[in-house]
Amino acid sequence: MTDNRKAYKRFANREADRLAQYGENHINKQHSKGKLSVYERINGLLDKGSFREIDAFVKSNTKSTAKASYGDGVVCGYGEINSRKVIIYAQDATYMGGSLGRLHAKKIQKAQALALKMGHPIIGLIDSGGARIQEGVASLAGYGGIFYNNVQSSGIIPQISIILGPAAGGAVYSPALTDFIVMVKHTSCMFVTGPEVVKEVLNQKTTFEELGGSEVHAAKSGVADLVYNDEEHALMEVRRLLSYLPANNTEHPPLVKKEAIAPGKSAHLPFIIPDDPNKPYDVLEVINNIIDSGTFNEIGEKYAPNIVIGLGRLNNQVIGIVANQPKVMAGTLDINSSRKAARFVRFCDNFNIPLLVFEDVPGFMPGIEQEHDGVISHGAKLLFAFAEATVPKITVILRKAYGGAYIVMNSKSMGGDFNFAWPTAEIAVMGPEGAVNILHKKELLKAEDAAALKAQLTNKYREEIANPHFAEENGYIDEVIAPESTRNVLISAFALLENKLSVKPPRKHGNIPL
Amino acid sequence: MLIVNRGEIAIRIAKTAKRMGIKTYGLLTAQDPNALYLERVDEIIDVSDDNMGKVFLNIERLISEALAHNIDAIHPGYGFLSENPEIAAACHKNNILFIGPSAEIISLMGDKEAARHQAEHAQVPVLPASKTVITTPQEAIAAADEIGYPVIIKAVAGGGGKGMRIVKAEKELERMYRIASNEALSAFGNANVFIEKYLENPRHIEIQVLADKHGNAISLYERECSIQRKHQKLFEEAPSAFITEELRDKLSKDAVQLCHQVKYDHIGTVEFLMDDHGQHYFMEMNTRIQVEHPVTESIIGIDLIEQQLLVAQGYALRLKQEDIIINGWAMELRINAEDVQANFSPDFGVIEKKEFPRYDFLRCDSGFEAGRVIPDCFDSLIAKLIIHGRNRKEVIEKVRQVLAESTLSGVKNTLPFFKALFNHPEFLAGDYNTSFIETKLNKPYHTEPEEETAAIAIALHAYLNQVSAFNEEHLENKPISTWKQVRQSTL
Amino acid sequence: MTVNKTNQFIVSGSINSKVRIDSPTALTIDDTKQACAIHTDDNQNYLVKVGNKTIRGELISIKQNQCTISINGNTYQLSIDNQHVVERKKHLGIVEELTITEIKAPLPGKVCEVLISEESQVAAGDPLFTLEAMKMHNEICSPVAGVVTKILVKSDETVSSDQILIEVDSTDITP
Repeated sequence: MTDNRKAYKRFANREADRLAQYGENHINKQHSKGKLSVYERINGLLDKGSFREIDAFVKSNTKSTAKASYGDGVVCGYGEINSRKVIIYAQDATYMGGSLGRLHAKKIQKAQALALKMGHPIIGLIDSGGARIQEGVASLAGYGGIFYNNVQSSGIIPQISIILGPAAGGAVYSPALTDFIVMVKHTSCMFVTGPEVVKEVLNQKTTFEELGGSEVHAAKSGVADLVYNDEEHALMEVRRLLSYLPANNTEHPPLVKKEAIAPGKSAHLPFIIPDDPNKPYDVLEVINNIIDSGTFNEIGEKYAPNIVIGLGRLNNQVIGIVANQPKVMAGTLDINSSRKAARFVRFCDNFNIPLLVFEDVPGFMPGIEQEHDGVISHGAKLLFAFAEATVPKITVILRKAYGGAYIVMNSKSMGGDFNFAWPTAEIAVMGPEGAVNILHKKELLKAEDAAALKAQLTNKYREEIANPHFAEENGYIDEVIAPESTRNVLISAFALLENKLSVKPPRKHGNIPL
Repeated sequence: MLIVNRGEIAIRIAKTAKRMGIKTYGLLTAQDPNALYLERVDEIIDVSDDNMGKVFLNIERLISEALAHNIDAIHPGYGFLSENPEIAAACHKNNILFIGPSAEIISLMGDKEAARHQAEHAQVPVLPASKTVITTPQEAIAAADEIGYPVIIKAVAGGGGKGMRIVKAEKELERMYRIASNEALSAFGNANVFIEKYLENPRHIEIQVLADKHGNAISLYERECSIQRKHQKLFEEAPSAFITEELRDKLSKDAVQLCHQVKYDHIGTVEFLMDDHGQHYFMEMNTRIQVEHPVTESIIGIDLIEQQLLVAQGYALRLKQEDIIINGWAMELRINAEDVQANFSPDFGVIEKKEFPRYDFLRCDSGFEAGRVIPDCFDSLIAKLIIHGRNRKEVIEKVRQVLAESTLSGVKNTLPFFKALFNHPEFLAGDYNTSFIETKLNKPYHTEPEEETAAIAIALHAYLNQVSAFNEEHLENKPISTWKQVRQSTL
Repeated sequence: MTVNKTNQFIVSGSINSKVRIDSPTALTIDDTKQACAIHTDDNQNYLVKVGNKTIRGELISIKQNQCTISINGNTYQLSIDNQHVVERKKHLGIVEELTITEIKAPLPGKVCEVLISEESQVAAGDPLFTLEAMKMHNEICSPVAGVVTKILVKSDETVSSDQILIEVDSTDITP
């Protein structure tokens, strides 16, 4: 029954007016561009009926050409995802192109402050043309405030940015500061400078997709951590992602209220690695046959595919996985893979997620390009990240572990809590062929049949030196284990490490090479 | 006896040898160290230090191992060195009995050119071909011009479809020549080819022969091998649905005549091509036991490996041509580790399940069982299914039954191909030639009509399950131990 | 919470159909109603009753909306999209067909001979190079007509399965 008293009527009318902004017009406009409407997105992301909006009636009163609307182009509020509280903000691309003005920014900053104060994750649904030109420096200051909040919250609460439309200019820096960037094929793009300006200044002809589409950021720049086919899936998968993360850095990642399903084919494990050490295999097969069935959530799949990172569950406990991928570039470490893995390791360290490393790395990628681009600094990033991390860290060496790369991948002397190896592991300063060339240089030069001698020496080296038992006998590897038993060994090791606590002298922060 | 081979044929040979009281030795290789055949021989010789992957072709190594272990005889099986005269010669030199004909005969019949000439001398019909061996593209072009297109380029030392290319028109010849001779060089160590007239869509019919060192030679009749893909046999049956009694006699007579011509003294197969008019042409002779020997064993009722071992040792054939009687019909399905939906590309890995039904009309020769690995450096044969019946119709029914009750998983395999084959009316009528797979089989694998619906249903179920899992995950907080809580707060 | 809760889906890949879920035991596929009951114990091995026939199938993998299913030794790759998503994509006028075709190595092996050069015009079916694998020389042919834009390997180079070897640009080729 409508209440006709003045105050109540005014209250109802205002709400009706506001909702009309998000009515058919708005929905059709979004759909015609292949996108979902603001409330469709919010409802797709949050548990049904859990959303409570904040600052819905904030209204700009500056001299702008468009009729000022309630909300100033962004919907902020809080709700629940799988019954856990989250704070969100969702931009409305149909209001002034979703551009950010003073009040728009203030609303977002308020949501951020709320998230930080209460210790809950914050998720931004970005669909914006960037700074609102009409409001000048106020827009820029607005962005500044948002970035500042991103940084203050970084490592304290999980921050996720879902790019659901364009994100241009200033709009991309907030996502860049957050923990994960999710993009959607065909409808989302990110770039600092748009195609028109690029054409003007550099005379380079390009399109939104080519300059900053989802494929570009997934595979080339590595800016996008996760890319999905459509918005519905993106929202669903963010819900899933959150189920692996704690609400803030004082908590541990949640457990799932059901029996962990062990993968069925552990007997398969000894056969995944080919007998010929030069033949590749897919490390995902190894991962999926050890951790809980169907729980591996890969991150950054298309960028630096020579290393695999992602979240998974082992006996229902969340773990962060870093694994060399032998089927791409023989699993060598290079600039991109070091960066990708280093950031992930530090993220896991922030949020109490234990680390599991699967190692099969023949070394760092050689070459002029890599050296000139600074593989020294970038490789050191991963080293730093592992050594700095105080979460439980376990490494399983599957096959190759040579030289510097062996040390980098969470070796025992670098602070690995447990280091295991499969019988097929080869741990050495360098691979057999290279080693033989150096150690037996003189004999090979003198030999009649150099190729046969080399083959013989290589075999000998492989049998005597490049095997895990030397390391085992000297305590650098805790134990050589049978592949089929890996899962159980890891479960019991992580269980032991739950109480791990590291004490460090206070410092502002280290000087990780950047 | 040392078996210098692997897989199902090693097991097959070992089985008969055991029965005959012969002690068998097998080779442990680096590429296949956990192979099933190693459990079926009496002793294992470890050659796993040879990483090159070619130990089965390493004559020097094989002979030295044989001498070191006082081996009396070497059985080469099929493929590998079975048609290599050098190993026969090396065995002879070292007083080891080679289970095969002499090096001279292997050489002679192994050289397709020379074999042709022998056939001509024996009054056996042959296809027009290049007069000499071809070693340059120019010679190739000249020969092809003379014979008239279409022609087929064949490796002189070849077999098994390697080093073979069909050329339909002149502009393709040079390129095909190069490809064929490169392939021949890498597969057999001999880049020489010859060029023959190419019969469009012939039938491939071969005669199993058995000869001894005393001048006796008999025919064990034919095998129909026209179901081929890229010149590799996938399926064989005996007898042939195309051959009449008259043709059978003619082919047998020619095959035996050829044996006499070259003084053949071992088991062998004479391969013929037949056109639609029933005219046959000699193709080549294989001087070894063949993959498809079980179908002949099935209808003739003779252990060919046993016969092989007997004639090799010098015993005279006890069997006379009159003793050879065809009993019923047999078919062999070669189940390969190939992905039928991806153009038969090879698949490797671990066999998860291998379940074939047990019937007395079904024989299964396989080098693998569940849990074993199919290595990627040898051939892709998983198992041979040989089914026997009173007539062709009965065998077909039995094959269908076997296919319906067979499970093979873990690697992609050709069972779906056979399901498609045994549903094809022309094949079922016995009306097919070597062009069958390419031209008549539109889809080389079989799908039941309801399969698509089932696939859609499963996909939807799995997808919706996943969606609901994202939406209804039940989470609970992970408790932090007091150890950590207390100590953390004092930091 | 699914957005736009719908029971209409488009299945694409090995099978292309419109599907509507009428009830837990009935589907309408391309306007034909099918009685279909599904049962699974472990979400991997399935028994599907279609009409009178029971078919056994296995879910090999599922990622986002792509599933791989094996039935009777045949593999099906299916993508599931809900109706709403498909319609929205229509608005974007997305052309899913890439005009640049990447020719990948079908299996690991060694490149023997590269038969074309950059800027060569090729027709569909023209051989591009030979690959030695499993003791066989395989001719790899172009699946499309176009111009060779990139050759990423050379003779004697060892390649792994799915490695991209050659790119053919069909952009200016009228079908």
